Amino acid sequence: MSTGRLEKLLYDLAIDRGTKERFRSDPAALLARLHLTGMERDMVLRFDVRGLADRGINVMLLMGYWMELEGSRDLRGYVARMNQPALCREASHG
Amino acid sequence: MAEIVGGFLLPHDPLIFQQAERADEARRNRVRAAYRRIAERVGALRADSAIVIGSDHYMLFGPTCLPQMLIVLDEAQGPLERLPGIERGEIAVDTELAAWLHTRGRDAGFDWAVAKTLTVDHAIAIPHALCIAPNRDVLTVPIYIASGVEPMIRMSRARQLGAMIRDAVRSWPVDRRVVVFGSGGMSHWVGMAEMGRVGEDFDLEVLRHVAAGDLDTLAAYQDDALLARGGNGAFELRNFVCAMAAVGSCAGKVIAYEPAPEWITGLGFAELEVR
Repeated sequence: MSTGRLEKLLYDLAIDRGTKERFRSDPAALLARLHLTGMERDMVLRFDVRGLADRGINVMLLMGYWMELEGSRDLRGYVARMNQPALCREASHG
Repeated sequence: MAEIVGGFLLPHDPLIFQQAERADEARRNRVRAAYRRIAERVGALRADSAIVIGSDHYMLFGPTCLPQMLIVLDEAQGPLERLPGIERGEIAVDTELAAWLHTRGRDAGFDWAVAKTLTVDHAIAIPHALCIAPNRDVLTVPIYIASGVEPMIRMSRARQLGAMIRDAVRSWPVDRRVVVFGSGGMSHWVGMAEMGRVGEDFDLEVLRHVAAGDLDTLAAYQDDALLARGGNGAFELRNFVCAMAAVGSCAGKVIAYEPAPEWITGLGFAELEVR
């Protein structure tokens, strides 16, 4: 996993209007253009903030990306997800 | 010569504005009164300039460049984000003082990153809007230190930076009265699974050290203890330490403390009275 690459993506998703719009309209297409592993793509697409945090991604970036793009724009939902097990597992991605 | 005539420690919690309704009216009023009190004290001290030491929250500086210490030299605007009740606008920068701090810092071995122009976030914009701008003609010098995002500035370096700021101001051959703001903290677990928790014991302990002017004890907190007792937001204690080192020998006078889980933060306000 590339922490730097993922943090750059999440930073852009949190602050850059164009990247946000591309994610909202076709997230899979946006992520396909980046050099991410299948698991990294899944984690971002599924808003697996717990799994991303467990892998060292900055939690302020995770909160920003959740609030901008998850849909509910609800901090309580974010905290609830952070307190659940990670959604994506290495085994399912070989 | 210029002199540092006082200092202030205060929170920059954006939820005070973005989710004001989550706290009851009494708490909202107490917090507003605390900010107002600081604004009044800035006026009473007849400050000409305010140096504000804040932290980025991975909003201004991205993974491609994360400065340890940054000073705004020419112009600033803010806030970057929407803060109901605070309009985005120009922040009048004390360009002469900023240039002096920049030069004297470099001479003393502090390799500042600089922003010739910057749209600041809530860390600078809230103190500016509520405590500085109400006093007409008081200029601002925004300074960011890395106290929110890894790799963070070491506590010892934050203290050294504050001491350098103190020496630089006091050697400036200009008749100027300067106050210093440490903007941040106290306990908050921002973005973490524990978000909403407030470490009241930790906050009150810090405020006791502030009241005693005990910079040695404050600067001795280790990051693992800060994280355990105050969350990742407590790393912003660096901003307090930097500001206290800039003020020098001081006694802290606590203005207010609000443990505010509804705003996910322990909110501490204090004045640093020059001894």
